[in-house]
Amino acid sequence: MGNTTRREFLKWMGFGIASATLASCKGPVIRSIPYLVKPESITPGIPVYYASTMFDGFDLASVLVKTREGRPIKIEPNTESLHFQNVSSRVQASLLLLYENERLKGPSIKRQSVSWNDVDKYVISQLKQIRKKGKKIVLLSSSFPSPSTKKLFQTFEKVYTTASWITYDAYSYSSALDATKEILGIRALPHYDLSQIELIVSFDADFLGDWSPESLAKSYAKQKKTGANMLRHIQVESNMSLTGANSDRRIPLKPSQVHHLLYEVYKAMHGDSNHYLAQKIYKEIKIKGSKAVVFAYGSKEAYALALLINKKIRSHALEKNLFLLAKESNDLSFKKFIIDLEKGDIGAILINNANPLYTYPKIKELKNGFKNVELTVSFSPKEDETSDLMKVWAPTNHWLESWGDTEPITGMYTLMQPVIQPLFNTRQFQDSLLIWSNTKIDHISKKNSMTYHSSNLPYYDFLKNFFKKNILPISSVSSFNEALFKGCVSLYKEIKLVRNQNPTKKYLQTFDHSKKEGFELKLYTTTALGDGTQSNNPWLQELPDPITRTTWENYITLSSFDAKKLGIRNWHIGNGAMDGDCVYLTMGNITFKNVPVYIQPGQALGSIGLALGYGHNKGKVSCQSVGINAYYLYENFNILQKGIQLKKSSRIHKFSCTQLQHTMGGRNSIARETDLETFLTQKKEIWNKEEKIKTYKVDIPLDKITLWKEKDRSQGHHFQLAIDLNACIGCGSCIIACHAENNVPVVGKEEIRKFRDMHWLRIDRYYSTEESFESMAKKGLSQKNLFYEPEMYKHLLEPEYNPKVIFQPVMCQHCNNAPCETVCPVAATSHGRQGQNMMAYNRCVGTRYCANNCPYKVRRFNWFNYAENDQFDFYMNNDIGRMVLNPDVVVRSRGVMEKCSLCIQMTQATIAKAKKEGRKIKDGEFHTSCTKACPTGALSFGDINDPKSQIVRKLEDDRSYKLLDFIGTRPNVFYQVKVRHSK
Amino acid sequence: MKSSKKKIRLFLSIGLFFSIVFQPIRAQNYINGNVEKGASLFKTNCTSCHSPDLTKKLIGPALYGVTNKRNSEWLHKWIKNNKDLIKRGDKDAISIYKEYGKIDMNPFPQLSDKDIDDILSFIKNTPSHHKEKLSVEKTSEIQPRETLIRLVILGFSVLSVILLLLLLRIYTLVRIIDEESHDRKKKIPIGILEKYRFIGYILIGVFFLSSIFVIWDFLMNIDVNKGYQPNQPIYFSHKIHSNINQIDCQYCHSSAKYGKVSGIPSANICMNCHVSITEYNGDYIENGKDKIFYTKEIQKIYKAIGWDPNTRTYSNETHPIKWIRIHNMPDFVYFDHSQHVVAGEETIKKSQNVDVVCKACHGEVQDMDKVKMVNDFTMGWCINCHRTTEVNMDNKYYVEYFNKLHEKLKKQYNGKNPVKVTVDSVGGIECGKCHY
Repeated sequence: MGNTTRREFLKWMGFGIASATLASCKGPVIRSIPYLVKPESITPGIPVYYASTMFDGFDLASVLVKTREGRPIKIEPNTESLHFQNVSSRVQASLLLLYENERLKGPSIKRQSVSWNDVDKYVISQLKQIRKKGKKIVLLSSSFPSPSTKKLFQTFEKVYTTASWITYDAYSYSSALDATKEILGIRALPHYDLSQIELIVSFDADFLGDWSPESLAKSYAKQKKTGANMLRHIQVESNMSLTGANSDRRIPLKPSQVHHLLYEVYKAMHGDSNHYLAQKIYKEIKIKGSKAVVFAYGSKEAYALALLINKKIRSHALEKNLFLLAKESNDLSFKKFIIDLEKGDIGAILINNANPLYTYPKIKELKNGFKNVELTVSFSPKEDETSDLMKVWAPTNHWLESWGDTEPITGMYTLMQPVIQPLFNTRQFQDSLLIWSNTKIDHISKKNSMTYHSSNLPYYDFLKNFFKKNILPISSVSSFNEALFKGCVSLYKEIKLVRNQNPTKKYLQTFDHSKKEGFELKLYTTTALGDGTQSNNPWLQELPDPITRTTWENYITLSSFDAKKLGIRNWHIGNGAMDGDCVYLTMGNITFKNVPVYIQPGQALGSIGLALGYGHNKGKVSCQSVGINAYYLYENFNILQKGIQLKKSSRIHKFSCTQLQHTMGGRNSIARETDLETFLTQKKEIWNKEEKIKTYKVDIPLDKITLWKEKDRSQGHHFQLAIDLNACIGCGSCIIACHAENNVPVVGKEEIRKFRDMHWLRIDRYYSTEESFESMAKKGLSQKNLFYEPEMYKHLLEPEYNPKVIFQPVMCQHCNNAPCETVCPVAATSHGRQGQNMMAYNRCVGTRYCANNCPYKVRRFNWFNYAENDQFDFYMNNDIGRMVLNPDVVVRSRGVMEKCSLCIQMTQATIAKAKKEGRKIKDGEFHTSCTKACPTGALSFGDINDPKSQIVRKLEDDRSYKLLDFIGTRPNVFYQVKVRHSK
Repeated sequence: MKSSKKKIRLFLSIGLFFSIVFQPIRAQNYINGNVEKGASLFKTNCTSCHSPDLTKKLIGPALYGVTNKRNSEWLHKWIKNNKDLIKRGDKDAISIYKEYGKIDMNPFPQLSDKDIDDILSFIKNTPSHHKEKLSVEKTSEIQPRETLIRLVILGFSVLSVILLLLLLRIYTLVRIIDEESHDRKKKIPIGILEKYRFIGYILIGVFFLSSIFVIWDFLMNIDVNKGYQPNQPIYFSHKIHSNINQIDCQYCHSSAKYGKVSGIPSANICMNCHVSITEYNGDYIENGKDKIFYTKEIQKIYKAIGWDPNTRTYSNETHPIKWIRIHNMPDFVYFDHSQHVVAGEETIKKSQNVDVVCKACHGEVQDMDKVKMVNDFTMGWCINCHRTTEVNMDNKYYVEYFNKLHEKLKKQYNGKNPVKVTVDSVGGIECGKCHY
């Protein structure tokens, strides 16, 4: 400070502040630049929707893309489509990768950026030489169910006669495909139609996850409609999967035991099994007959046995004879490719949608092999582990910038159309192939050598001609444009099946019964990351896993018994976060150091689980996540590995988990469930008890006593949101939909650990406990006895070994008598006539009283500016990433509380539309982002002032209840009791 | 597609007439027609392609002197049905047709011979402005204003110098007084001090209150830009367009009825008219400006969109116009133009007593040469209007959802006042309706 006195300092500071304030009082000059020539289809402020197909090599969906002022900002399901209309969290989040700052901005040769013309000249001359030498040219790609691209590759093959297409899926479906080929005669995954199914027995098949390329969630939830014929679902599995969590009866077994049980069930079907459980399961199957279906996974034999059982019982699920063509994994051809690579037979490798250096366990072989290849071309849109070794980078477009087509299922054809000009100087790999197969490259006009527009690129014409020639005649549409408008067309083509003779005995003989010391590992794909294609996506990294509710990491899941044996613990620390021990994981000669362990209720004894898709060393966001690359353990394309040794290490891992408590702690009225028998035979009071206020005389119904003045809401709209716990499978699509619609920021691993996550919508997961208040009271550990209370809760907080799981989406409940509103000192949060609890961000001063007074803990505080802040270097920190923001919703700044608004911008838009058109609003017109995205229809939204609406029927249903209604908040969100079909 | 065809057709018809102009005179013309009637017919039929003052080539050629170059019989045939003329193998017609890309001028079979005579006589009898050069007065209109500003600045500096001098004087005086203060204090009788203390308090109080008021007023006016009237990159006069030429607001601000923003018109909308209006010929001229000034502003559009008025072609060299935004809502406010312009049109007009709905907020824009923000555009201002404006109970939406609201309000107010169903009574002043 030196000579400056305190007075002087204050004086100058005061003067400085005053002058700064005065200077800033003048508004800045804001410039607005309109279009010079406005495109006809664009009206500022009005969204335009395009039908397209999302395909990134792993996921596939028929979607509608919402664009604003030419920017795609949201992915919604294409309801016109009969199949693949499930927009999972990954499908929706793939939008964010379009605006990824790390995408390659243009082509390059040996890291020197060049023009496309140079690339074409270089590649063509190289390819010609390689053809002359007779060396092989390989296109290594993920499954690519695009008929036109395959046709296109034929022309490429004609020019370069040594070329071949090798399909390589990181997460392989090859064993299932082979099994189907042998039993049903077609190398495609069967489509299971659940519309008549009343019993599902699944052996390790995560059919609500990635077991089938088309999620069965929708038809599964449909069959779970309450009634005598409600679906019963038995899941036999080792890891606690999303599917297992939804099952009515879950049997946790080691992977080898799961397969053994399947084997026994199959034998029981033929009458020669003594296995008690197998007989019991078979009995159930037998009763349901063709209304049952069996799923299995893990090996070719298992898949085959399940198919054989389905064939034997003539399951209705296979009746439609449809096959999914979305996956074409072929392990054999890839293994052959590796051999060729080692021999040095391969002269050129073009890689599309594949990252073998990350996903193939034997990296050294690959690296050595690649060294001998003369021409290596990566089509990867951004730098990845594999592109590091590639000479030519010819980045392909994002799917939102691309033309394309897919045939994901027999009888359906979908189209992909660009909704935005390529953001960077990239080119679709189909265009590259087409240009390279035309060896005279003079036709590329030199004028446009730097930037290409889709109009002067060849693939569009190729696709259009292909469609007109091959698809249009056998389709339901009359023109290419109509097909583009719809996004999908159904075909009249039928696949003829070549049925095999009874191959049954073979499967029984080759069934693997071998045993090994140590743990059995099941590798799995998470709901968020899948096979890891999108690991650089912050939305997905921060999407809590539905089961463990962790973010930004992968870990070993281990049962509590095994953990105790190994001395491994998970514990909570002072700030509320969770820490856990790490282990050394050894499999054969591979050892991972310090792998975190998450103690998973329901994990089968002697088994461990580990998620694929983590542990990248490329990509800013990927690298922020903590995890190991489980693909190193994915030997022989087998998700089941045996003989794993675990040893505790001294390292402590810091988990970023959004929910630490496993159970409801005895307060089972939060997420209510009942079993089917009670539901069908008992009165509502038994299984969905209405809460009452206890007074000294009698119990009074809730609405008799209230602190608040009741308002008349009979005029206008009154919105309510229904959440059917029976249909909710916990998949998390709604969370990403909410992110995209409401500009919810990503906060990163460290902040999540401090419970500063910003999700407006969370899906709570609760495990069942062995004990309840009643059972504890019998043991003498009553709630009334203060001394025993801690002891009692110890039991109530401990999930049972094989717990039942319930998911409960919780967002702002929009209470009519909202506790948050009462305590806000500046009236920043107030109640609307239409039932929405409104949050005026510009009024909020950040006292956080509301969050403290909210019984549902749904309010989120902006501890920082998450936009334009280098501390949060996610998509909101760069100009390109910010293009994804929804312009109708403000980006909140630091010090402001935020929460679910029931998508008031959407309801207001619907109302404004009706007002302008002067009409009544039809039932089903009101939507929120989450209800639109929900694949199972668990979330639904509507106006209860419309007596004929769906929502009123749901509200009046016996199953409906409101969360914590005994505190008198009168929420506008209501739940419906889950009914479990357990016998 | 359609529009491009039309354009080509128009271009060709220019070519046609152009070639006519340069054809040698073949016959003497005897045209007898009503000039006035011809003028009006010309205005309705021809001016979309031909320059109204006959001297410039627009889409069609400049028609001045065409009656001298062509014989009237041929012109009659050409105007009525030029296709027929070409079909029949008229040499001139074909050569024109071929020369200009084989697309023809619109035929005018609905014009009678008399009508055509009228038009031709109008063309014949109109004196050419071609060579009449507008006297370019170099008296810059900026100068007087600049001198005024300079004068003001000079005045201020003189004043401040005087003030400084005064302050210096006061300062020395105070010092002298300070030195003598000991004596003075003794001299002043205590009674007087006591007597005037009360007034002193009042004075302090008044000062205090007034300064609070000033600060309050100052703070409340932060970012209230009423009166904001910036210079735009192109001197676009709403008065000329909207008032004199009676162009509807929503012809240019076409998004207002569809979306939340009214939309700054894109330059291609300007070109709808300015493709043929290349210079300003109106009677209205602002003080200190002249026609050339306005014409130059029109040229700015051409530069922006890359239009070459001489060759009548678009180049790719464009310069987007950076307009200065006058009405700027903060990001946390959602204002939807379409709802006010479409659903609220009638009642807003009624409550604000205006003939065009836009004027309710934007004021008499049709009288502004430079657009000015005429209202506060503060939340209080919005809410005041929402409190007083009725909703349109003829709209079926309101009938459907708020049919009993009137009864309810009546009960609430005991039927005393004639109760109106205003916007706030249907939830129009709830926070979340505009802030999300």
